[in-house]
Amino acid sequence: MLFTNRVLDLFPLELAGALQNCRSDTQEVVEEIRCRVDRPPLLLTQDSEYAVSCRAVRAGDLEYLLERASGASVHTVADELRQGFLHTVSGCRIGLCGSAYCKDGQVAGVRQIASVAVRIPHEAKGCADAILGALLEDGFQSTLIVSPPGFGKTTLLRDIIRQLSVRGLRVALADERGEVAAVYDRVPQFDLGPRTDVMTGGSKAACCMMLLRAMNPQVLAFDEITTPEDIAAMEVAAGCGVQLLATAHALSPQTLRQRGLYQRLLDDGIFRRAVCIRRENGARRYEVEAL
Amino acid sequence: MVRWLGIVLILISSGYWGIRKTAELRRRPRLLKAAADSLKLIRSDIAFRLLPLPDTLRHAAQAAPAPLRHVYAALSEQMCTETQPFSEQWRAAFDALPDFSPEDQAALCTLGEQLGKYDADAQVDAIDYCVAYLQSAETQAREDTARRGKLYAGLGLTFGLIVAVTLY
Repeated sequence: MLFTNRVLDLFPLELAGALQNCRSDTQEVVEEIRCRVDRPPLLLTQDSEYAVSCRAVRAGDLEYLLERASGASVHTVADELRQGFLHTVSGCRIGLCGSAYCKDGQVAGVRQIASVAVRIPHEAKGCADAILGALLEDGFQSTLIVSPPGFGKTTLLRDIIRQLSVRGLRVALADERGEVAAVYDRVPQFDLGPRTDVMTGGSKAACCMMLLRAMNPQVLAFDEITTPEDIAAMEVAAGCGVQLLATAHALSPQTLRQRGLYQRLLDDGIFRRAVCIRRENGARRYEVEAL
Repeated sequence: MVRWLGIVLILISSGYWGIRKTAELRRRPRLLKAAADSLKLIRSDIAFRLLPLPDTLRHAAQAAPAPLRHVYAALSEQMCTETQPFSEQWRAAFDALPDFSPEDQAALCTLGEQLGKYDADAQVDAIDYCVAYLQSAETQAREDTARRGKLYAGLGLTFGLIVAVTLY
């Protein structure tokens, strides 16, 4: 199994060794590691799931992972922890599950962590090569990347942003959860091109307004439209003449239209193109459609 | 002549013993004060600047006197390179300072179990608790030094005089 992004550094030595030795006969890339207390870890690849042959995960292992992921500085990632996740230096996204505690009526953090999901992002430079010509035909126009979860929307978004930036477009990215750019100490850990500005944290809607006012983008990029506020922000951006690039969970633009949240977005013609990601025989295929 | 020289040497060495013991006694309250001051700096960096712990320790190293300076500098480096949990690195670093009493080290180790693991407010509380202990221990140590320091100085000279008189 192939582990990237220095993800094994997050685990105690004994567990890291067991993960490394799991299915050493295969070259599959590990996309996610799931650990639950009192159960052995699970490795998820694009198509399969493997249980690791080792001792059960202990509470101390998850505490160690949190310490490594936060640089022994949990106080610096409090905002992320309130949302139930945090990012590592190398761009991994760690979802936390345990006992949520509240302060002033809002979730303040997660204690007694019982399980974690470590998502390992991958940079696939050039994955958008096949569709870039279609996306740039008559100039780049607002584009929506659509697929079910786990099909690689974020990876494709990352490469499209990079390629637009390389081709001279000013791109501004509202990276709410830090998954697209994986910014650490002000520097994106993934290559997003020379003309890309990244705003992390905060809501997409608020960051969108800030980016519009401050960074004069030609393209505004987001990952995962999920709230009515996101859609309202996009309407404002589109009204300012900025092209949009975003992702959404759905089988196709047609199924997206059936969901009330997106109906307005599609009916108003804010997005002109859609890229649908499909999986066939273990390979990804990208299809560009006019909306 | 030689006899008088011998008496003077005996008095000097016994007096020196007394002074050294007093100086040893004084090291602990100084170290406790320096530890409390450095923890207050760490507290500010965590509470107000939300600095990551390695940066906080580096900052503390710049302000603290030896040997704490070396402890904090080494910890800030080790955190980035070693795989041991931070609490174990912290424990090992403070266990290596002989001038702290076992109670002092226990208080510092308890703090080490909490630094970097919780939100800023919880860490600030833990630091305040430890600082309160260190300041109380420093006050007691200074009183002890004042009392025993005079005793040791007196004992040293007295012992020297007794030896000198006995021999001569």
